[in-house]
Amino acid sequence: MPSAIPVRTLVPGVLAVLLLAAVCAFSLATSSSPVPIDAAKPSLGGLSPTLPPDSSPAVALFDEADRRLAHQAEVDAGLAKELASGVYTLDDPLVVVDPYGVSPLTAVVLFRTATPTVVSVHVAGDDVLSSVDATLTDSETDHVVPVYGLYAGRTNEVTLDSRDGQGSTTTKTLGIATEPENQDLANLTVQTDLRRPDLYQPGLNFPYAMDMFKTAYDENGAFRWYLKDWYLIPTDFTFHGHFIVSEGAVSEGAVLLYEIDPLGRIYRVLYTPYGAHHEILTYKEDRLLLAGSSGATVEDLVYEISPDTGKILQTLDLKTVLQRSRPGLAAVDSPDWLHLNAIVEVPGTDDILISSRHQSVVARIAWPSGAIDWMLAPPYDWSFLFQKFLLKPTGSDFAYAFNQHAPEILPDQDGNPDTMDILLFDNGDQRFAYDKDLQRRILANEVVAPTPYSRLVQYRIDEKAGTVARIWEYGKDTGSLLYSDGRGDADLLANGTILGTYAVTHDKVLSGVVLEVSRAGEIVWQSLATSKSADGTLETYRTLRMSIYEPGTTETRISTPALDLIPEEVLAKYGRS
Amino acid sequence: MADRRTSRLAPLRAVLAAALASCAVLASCAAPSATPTPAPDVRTETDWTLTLLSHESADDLSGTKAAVLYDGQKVDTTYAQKPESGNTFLLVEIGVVKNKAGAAAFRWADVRVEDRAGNSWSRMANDTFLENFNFPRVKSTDLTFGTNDGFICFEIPKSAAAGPLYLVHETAAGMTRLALR
Repeated sequence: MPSAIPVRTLVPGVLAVLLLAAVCAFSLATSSSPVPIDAAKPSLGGLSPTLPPDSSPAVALFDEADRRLAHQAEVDAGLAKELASGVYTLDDPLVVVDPYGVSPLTAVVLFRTATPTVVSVHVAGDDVLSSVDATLTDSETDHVVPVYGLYAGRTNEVTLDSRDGQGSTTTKTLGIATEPENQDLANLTVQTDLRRPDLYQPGLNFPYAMDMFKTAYDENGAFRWYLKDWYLIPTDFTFHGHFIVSEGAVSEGAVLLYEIDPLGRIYRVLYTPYGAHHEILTYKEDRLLLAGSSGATVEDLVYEISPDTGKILQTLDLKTVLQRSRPGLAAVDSPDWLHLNAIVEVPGTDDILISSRHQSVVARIAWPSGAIDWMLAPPYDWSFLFQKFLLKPTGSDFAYAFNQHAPEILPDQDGNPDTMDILLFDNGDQRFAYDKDLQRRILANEVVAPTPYSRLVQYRIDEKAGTVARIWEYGKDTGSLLYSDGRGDADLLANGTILGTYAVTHDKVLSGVVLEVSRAGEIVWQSLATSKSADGTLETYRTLRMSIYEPGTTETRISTPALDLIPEEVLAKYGRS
Repeated sequence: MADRRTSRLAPLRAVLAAALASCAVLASCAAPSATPTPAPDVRTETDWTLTLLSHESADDLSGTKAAVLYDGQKVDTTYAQKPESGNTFLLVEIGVVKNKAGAAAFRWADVRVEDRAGNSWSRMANDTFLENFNFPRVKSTDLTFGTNDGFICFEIPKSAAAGPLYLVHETAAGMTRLALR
């Protein structure tokens, strides 16, 4: 629920107080720890005949998938039967709240019209910005209208407009009641501060993680969507209007990927033995690229899955691409030497960008060969074999990013085909670590260690010249208040503002801060998410601002069975047919 | 121990809050007194069929759920739920199945537990906590569709829990009264 506390001054003053108020007795290290690994290394390039390190979680995953799919089939059949009865009209429809039992702030409305009509949905918000609107794309007589963005614990006003081919519109307003938030969600508090409603990019805020939840909240901090089931952090909210959520192992091990809509209805299930951490990316519209692990190291594998067949098409071990021996945030001999935390498709090419937190490098590489085109990285400790790929900085205001997260390629910014603009979250964990003289003076107590800071930064890379310049940044002045050593996100929104996500640790307690800022550095909107749980820690990672009704989410295909694409050979390995 | 409950009405749906691969749930009722109904008591109304499967009382509920965090760490989240002093939770496992298309909604405002003296108690306004302890649960919004089976929760005085109780569904069309034996 939104807080009644006015938070007009979250940054910088009150935010500090709020963060300090969130302090509890327990803590969580914000940097990723090396994960125990298994010596058995599956073969690359296909599904391994070797079982993942612990096979029992895989069986539990399969059991759960079976249960979900069976339940969904039962619900779908029931809904279809109800609709076929012909007794439901727009004036007296069938309303089913949370039909699949996993997404409490959704509903479906079923009815039949005499002639084909197009239906529009309006969920009344507490204000204009928080209202949710959508027009379904198909003209039909049997309607299964998904309703998203309801408030918890109240009767929501939902208006349906049904427009026929002649332009005649019939309107029906419904009251749809929802349950109170469950205990897990009620443990979360989101306080917001909307300073410039005129600049706020409309849409809901979708954190990749708010603790273990997939949620969405509006500009007032009210939750408008959540899944009751817990999923891992990696998510793709943009898979043809549906979501890809993951369940299972973080490092090497069994993972199931579910394509779902906001109702929680499953459209397909995929399997991978390589774990899922940080990234699930829709690549060239018809494939998925994931960050995973294989063998004696972790989080240094990129792999590609076909959503159509469930087959793993390609794998790329980044130990064969980047310099394994370079010191970084993790020790050279650490299994988590790279910490691959983002994969980005380079539009119009087969290339991808990869981001390594522990090596502070963003690299453009060919997929799937791994051939390096360039690297944006601090120039320290690179072998001569790699130095030729380093971009050369230009401009007096240039500063490298350290331990960055979530680079994204911006639309063309300058009309120059030779340049690429990228926006990323510069965590800054090792910002001063390579300044040997500074480190010596700190150790000698000659100077005080500089205050760490994180920033949102836009770079312009001249790929032809091999240079990089800083174009824009925000956050240097926020210092330790918004210092986020382990996670973060920076997104360019459609209206030109920038959305930044910070995982801030104060007194060993993690909280989530999301800022929408203008190019001029003005705060448009901000939110602070905290947890009321015993340890006070709130998991966060990235945040996406988008409409909950994206193209593709406006249809609920209850007559289309979910595709179970867990390979037969995998099921057979676990003794399942 | 009150671990995962299995509904006899629809076994496949009995694990609505099932443990995920990334989490394992242990739940316990302090001094629970489970009373499975010898044979499910089934009553067919015009629009809905009610099945009473079991009931039990619990003076408190507690449990932990393990989650995989961002960095692969597994942490336990502890849940606990206690009724007001002198009260107990009465957990009733039921099935509510819609008989026909176009049927009137099944409203929880029409459901109560009552004792012989005529004292009655409504379903708790928010019993979503049942899912923390791995009880499959029937949602508390109006039911309009399908097969709905699982637990619902009432908070009643301990003294009332010791005596005969009845689950009552009363609408303008009539009243159904099921004994919690």
